Parts: sequence; structure tokens; C-alpha cells
Amino acid sequence: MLFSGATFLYYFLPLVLTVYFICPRGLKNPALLLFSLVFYAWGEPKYVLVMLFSIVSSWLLGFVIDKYRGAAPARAALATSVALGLGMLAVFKYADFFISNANGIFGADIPLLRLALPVGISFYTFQVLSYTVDLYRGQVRLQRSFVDYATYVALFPQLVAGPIVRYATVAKELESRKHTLMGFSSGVLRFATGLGKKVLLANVLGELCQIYRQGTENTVLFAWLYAVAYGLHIYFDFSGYSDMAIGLGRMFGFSFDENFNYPFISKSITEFWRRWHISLSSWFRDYVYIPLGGNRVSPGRQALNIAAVWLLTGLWHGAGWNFIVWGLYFGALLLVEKFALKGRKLPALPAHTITMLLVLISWILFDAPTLPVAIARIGRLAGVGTDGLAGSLSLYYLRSYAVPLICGIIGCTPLPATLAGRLAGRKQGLALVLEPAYVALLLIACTAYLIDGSFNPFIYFRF
Amino acid sequence: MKRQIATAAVFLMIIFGLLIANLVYIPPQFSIAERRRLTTLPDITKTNRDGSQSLNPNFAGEFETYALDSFVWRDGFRSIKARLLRNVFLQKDSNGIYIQNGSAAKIIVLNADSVAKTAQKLAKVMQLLPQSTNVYYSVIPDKGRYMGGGFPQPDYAQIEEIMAQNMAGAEYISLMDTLTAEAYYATDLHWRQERLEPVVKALLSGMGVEYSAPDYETNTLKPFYGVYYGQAALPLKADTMEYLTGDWLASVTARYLDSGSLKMLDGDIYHVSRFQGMDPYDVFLGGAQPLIALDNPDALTDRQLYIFRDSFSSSLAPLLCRYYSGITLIDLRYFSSAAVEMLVEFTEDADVLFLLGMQVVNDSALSMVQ
Repeated sequence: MLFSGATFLYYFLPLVLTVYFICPRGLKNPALLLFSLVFYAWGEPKYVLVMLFSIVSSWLLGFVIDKYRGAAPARAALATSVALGLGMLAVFKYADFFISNANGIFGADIPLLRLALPVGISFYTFQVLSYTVDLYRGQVRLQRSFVDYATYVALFPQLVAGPIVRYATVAKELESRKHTLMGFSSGVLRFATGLGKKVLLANVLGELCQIYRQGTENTVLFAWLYAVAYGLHIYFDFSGYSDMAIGLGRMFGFSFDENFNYPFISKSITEFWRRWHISLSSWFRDYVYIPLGGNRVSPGRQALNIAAVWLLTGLWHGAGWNFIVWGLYFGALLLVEKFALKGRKLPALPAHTITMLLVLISWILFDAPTLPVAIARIGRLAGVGTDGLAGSLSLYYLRSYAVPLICGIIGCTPLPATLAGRLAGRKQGLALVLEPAYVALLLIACTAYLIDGSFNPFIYFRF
Repeated sequence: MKRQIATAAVFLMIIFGLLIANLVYIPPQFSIAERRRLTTLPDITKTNRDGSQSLNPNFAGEFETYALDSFVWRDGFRSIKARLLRNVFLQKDSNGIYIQNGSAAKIIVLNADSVAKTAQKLAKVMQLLPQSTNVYYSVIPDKGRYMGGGFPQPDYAQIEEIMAQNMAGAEYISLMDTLTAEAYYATDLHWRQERLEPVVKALLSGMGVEYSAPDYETNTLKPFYGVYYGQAALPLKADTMEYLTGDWLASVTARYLDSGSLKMLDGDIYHVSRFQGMDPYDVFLGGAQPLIALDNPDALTDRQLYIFRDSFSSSLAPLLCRYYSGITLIDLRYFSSAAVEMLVEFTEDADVLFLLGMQVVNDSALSMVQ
């Protein structure tokens, strides 16, 4: 089930809101858990068992970790939790990748497992590991209530496409949270904005990318149109979903951390990854990079740590060589910034331009089905292998998508939010009308687009 | 606080309001605007081959499709989207459909490989024909070619080149200069029968048949909302459909292949009752038919014509009946080559015309069954 679908918007959401707010406090978590399981099972009925196994095993292992903290049984329980979580990921997500590569290298004929990837496994596995590791470190307390713990892992707002919510973030809210009109309405505003980002910008720009992929015209202009459109498409798709998740969380009294902070205003790759998919990069920092020694080791070891983290980051995004190259690409850029540039900064405009160019190239790597296709698409940006600077199709689509592209470029800066904030602060009478009108218009417009369109899954749904 | 109340209230009113509206609304079975049957509520279980029941694995996706198809005021929402796209986001087309000077057309991007495959398939069919037949081919340009406005158009010169390379032995008859934007319906992809005399002249000239000025009677049907009307979801002025009759049609008989019995059964040239149906263009020769035989004992010649065709020929063929004592229309989208051999007997010295519209030529998967 997708947030940007009629089933969720006009059947599931009204029902869950009704039941949740009717339930007394003691039944709110069970109600959320039940609806979250229904949400997950709606599209993946048999794989809900995989998630339940992950929940039950990590919850039980938590008791061992808590009881024997600092001793061997706790370490064994933690190791078991990590092994189970990463093991499930390895089997469902990476097994066929490794098997097919082994077959290719050794000439073997090992049959592929052909297992479907349980939706959201990459997200909830990392959430479960954040609980057991933080519990081991003594940073969180044992969650004795299975219902509360299961609610945390399975919570439908962030279950299938993030953000990766650490247990520590919501531990208190699981047991005691406030439901205020301010919180609910801010959640509504955030949800509606995210829905608009997804349906009115991401999906529309995604159409342009799809037209390019059909190989209809091979010109430099079309290559650049695609690169810019794809970068904006993936940003609005993912950040839009995160906005919806955060907004839904607020409606139910939860405060999730921000997952995006205007990454396209970054002036370095380091800064970019502090602003993009913050929950993932901080997870890898806290659970991989720092345990490996972080930056408190020799420069050589630190470089290896960075390379390892980015190899894993690439792999997390997908079982494919283009994802591995994508991750290592960023690893290499970060190493250059850290060790070669050593904090030296260019003037803002060149720094921003170079950063955006490097990021655009990374998205081409990310989107390509194979490495040779990625290289060819990147080459076309410089005119390699093209049939000219521009053609009738690319000029037409530049004209046709000019407004969505401009809206996208402006929308990925803080400007709209800044203006809205000023308006709300200075013209409260006007904001009283404009804010609900904004929500209504977005809902109606998005509904219109959804009805006219077709099924529109999120990019990050495969993770 | 008032602002928060208003925001929350508006949101809840919309989602609950539309929930209730969708629960009480009884959706139609067909969408006239979209020319298709709308999805019904899917079954939660499915019957397996052994008769047992199991959960329908596609239920979630099918339910989402049903939820969208059965949404209250569906056509209104589609219209909102079309207006937003065109007037706010200033996009030039919606789902590939654009409007220029009150006429709707579809963006067609040339798929050279597909054109070549189509031509190769037609060339294979040519091998079934007796050596004595005169073989011709033509491509009906899409209306967009004549509409202007800077919308992308396929390269027709390249299409002609690809067809010529693959259809050696067949003579090409160009229709490029015989048509104008006004020769097509504003809301449909098809051409208007009453504007086809230049096309008739060009084809007859190419096939060596002498043209003579006709005496037509015009019959009007309205309003006609073509296939693009629903797809565009924008207010377009309805077309008027005209079909031509006259003395020359009086002795023409039509027979249609019955797919069940494989017998040719008598029928009408114009199926006026179909004007109220899902596709009003079916008025012409009953729409999608695999095999039609038109006979005219009072034709100006005793020549036979075989047209391998798509829907465009449905309105053209009655006009050619003046000149041919027998016209056989074969729609290869419903026929395999083997079926053609079995069901169609080609007479010696006949004219054979491969006549397909641009959209079919550009998509070899549409052009015929293997």
C-alpha cells in the first residue's frame, strides 16, 4: 500500500485515524500495531511473517542483552541479533547477486534462489539493529512490552521506505505521547506537502526520465534534461515520502527526525551527505564507522573505514554493481575532500556548481541498469556518443517540462518554506485562510493526478 | 490555534468526505470518455487449477486500480488534472495527447526498428500472393503532421525509406499531400470520410484505375466524441460524423467473417446503431472486423482489390466500391499468415493494397498476429 494511492488516502487513513483516536490510551499502540500489520500485509501477506520473525527474535534477544549486559551472553545475543538481521538481508536481497557473480567468475551453475524482496526489509532491519545495539551500549532501556516494541518496528508511517527511526528517538513516545491539535495540524501540513512533492513533482519529472530512457533522441540537451530531471525526481520522491512519514507520525503523536535538509544547496559532498537521507548516513556513522574507529585511527585506517562504509551504503541501496560503484564513487569523493582538500573551500558558487555536477553524475550511476549504460549516459553529458546538441524532441520536452523543472529547482531550496514561515508569522489572518486552502488544493490536485495516472511506486520501495 | 483547527478540519473533511462518497457511489461499468470497461471490485480469493481456493496474490494492486476506476466524480478529477497540467504547469501534452487549434492529437515518436519489423511482416504476407497481383502499399500520416504547433512529429521521409527498403516488389503510393488537418476529426485520430476524395484519387491513380467524380449524399450523425476526447479530459468541441451514400452504393453488399463458424455472413455497410456505442467510428463497416468482403456488380471496373488494413480503411473502402467489383478487407491484427492462406482466395491480376495508419506502422506489435 502506498501513501500516494487512493486505497491509503481514502480508505486506510480515515479508518486508522478513526479507530486510533477512539481507542483509549492503553489500546492506541495495539491499534497502531494492528493497522501497521494490515498495511504491510496488504501488499506482502506472506512476508509479514519475515518481519514478525525479526521483531520477535530481536525483542527476545533484548532480554538477554539487558540481563547480561557487559558479559558474554549479552555479546552473544547481540551477535545473534546482528547475524539474524544481516543474514535475512543477505538471503533475500543479496543472495542472487552473489550467486550470479560466483557463477560468472567460477563458471559454476548454482541455481538462483529467486526470492522476492520483502518490502522495507532494509529499513526495519536497521531499525531492529539500532534497538539491540543501543540496548547493548546502555543507551536505551529494555522494552518489556512486546506490543510497544512491535509497534515501533512495524509503525506504518515509516515502515516501508523510512526514515530509519532509531528506537531511542521514539522510546518515550511509545509509552507516553501527547496528541495535540498543533501536532496533528502540523502533521497534516507536512503530509500534504509530501504528497504534493511526490505526485505533482516527482511523478511528473519521472515521466520525462522515462521518455529519455526509451532512447528516442540522443542529444546533449536531452542528456542534461534527464540528469537534472532524475536528480529532482529522486529527491522529491524520497523526501516527499519522508515528509509524509513524518507528517503521519505527528498525527499519531510521534516526532521522527528529519531525513532531508535541502541537500541541493550543498557546497561539498560532505555537506550533501549531511543533508541527504540523514537517517541512513547517521546510522552507518554510528553503527559502522565509529565502531570501526571512525576518525580516531590512522589516516590509512580512516580511509579504509570510509571506503567500507560507502561500499556498504552502496550495497544497501541495491544488489548490483552500479550501486556498489555509486557508493564507492561517493566514498572516493569524500576521501578527496577529507585528505586532499583538507577542509579548503572554494568560493560558494563554484563549490555549489561542482558539487551539484558530481551529485548529478552519481544519480546517473544510480539509475542505470548496468555500468556500461551509466558510462554511456554520463558521456552524453559531454557530447560523447550523441547525435548533436539538441533535437526537436529535446527542445519540445524542455518547453513542456520547463515549469515543473523550475518548480522543482525552487522547491528544493529553503525559499518556499522561508516565505511560508514569514507569511504565517506576519499575516496570521491571511495564513488562517491560506494554510487550509493550501492543504485542500494539494489534496484535490494530487487526487486528480492519481486518478488520471497509474500505479506509481516510490523509487526507494525496492530497499 | 484557529489556523490549526481549520487545517485539520479541511483535511479530515476531504478524506472522510471522499471515503463516504466512494462508499455510497455506484460506479458505472464503462467509461464512455475513456472507451473502456472500468475495473470492478476484485475477489480476495482465486480459484486454482485444482479447484482449491487461495488468496488472490494480486488483490492489493487490483484493489488500487478499482479504487481509482470507481472514484466518485472520476471524469471531473481527470478534467482537473488536465487543466492543472495545461494551465498551471504549462505542459504541452497530457499522457502524450496535445491540443492544437481545437484538435487533439497524439505525440508519436518514430520507432524505426518497429517500422522495419512491420514492413518485414507485410513483406512476408506478400509472398502468399499470386505472382500476377499488383501490389501497392501506403502509410496514412498521423493528423499531427498537418496540425503545426511545434509538436514532435515522426520523420516521414525516414519512414518511407524504411518501408521501401523492406517492401521490394510493392509500389509505394504517397498520401502525404492528399490530406490536411481538417481532413481528420478534431477529437479522434481517424480521417473524415467526406474529406477523402483526394485520397481516393491518389490511390486510384497509383493503382491505374480511372477516377470519376462521385455524386454523394451526406448523412450526419452528431455529436461525435472521438477517442482523444476522453484521453485529453479537456473540453473539446464535439465533432460531427458524416457518412456518404448514393446510387453507387445501392448494389453494394457486405459480408463479414463470423469468427465462430468461419462463414461469411451478410451485413450492412454503415452500422448507424453503433454510433451510440463505445466507439462511434464503428459506424463504418462495423469497426474491428477480421475479414470483410464488399461486392459491387455495378462497379466501374470488374477489378478485384484486397486491402490489408487497419481501422482507417473502414471509411475509405465504401468509397472505393464505385471502382472495384470486389473489395476484400483483411485486418492482419486478427489474422495469422496461415489464416490468410486458409480463408482468403486471391484472384489473378487483382490489386493488393497494404494500407496502415502511422500509429500501427510505428508499433509492430500492433500490426499483425504472427
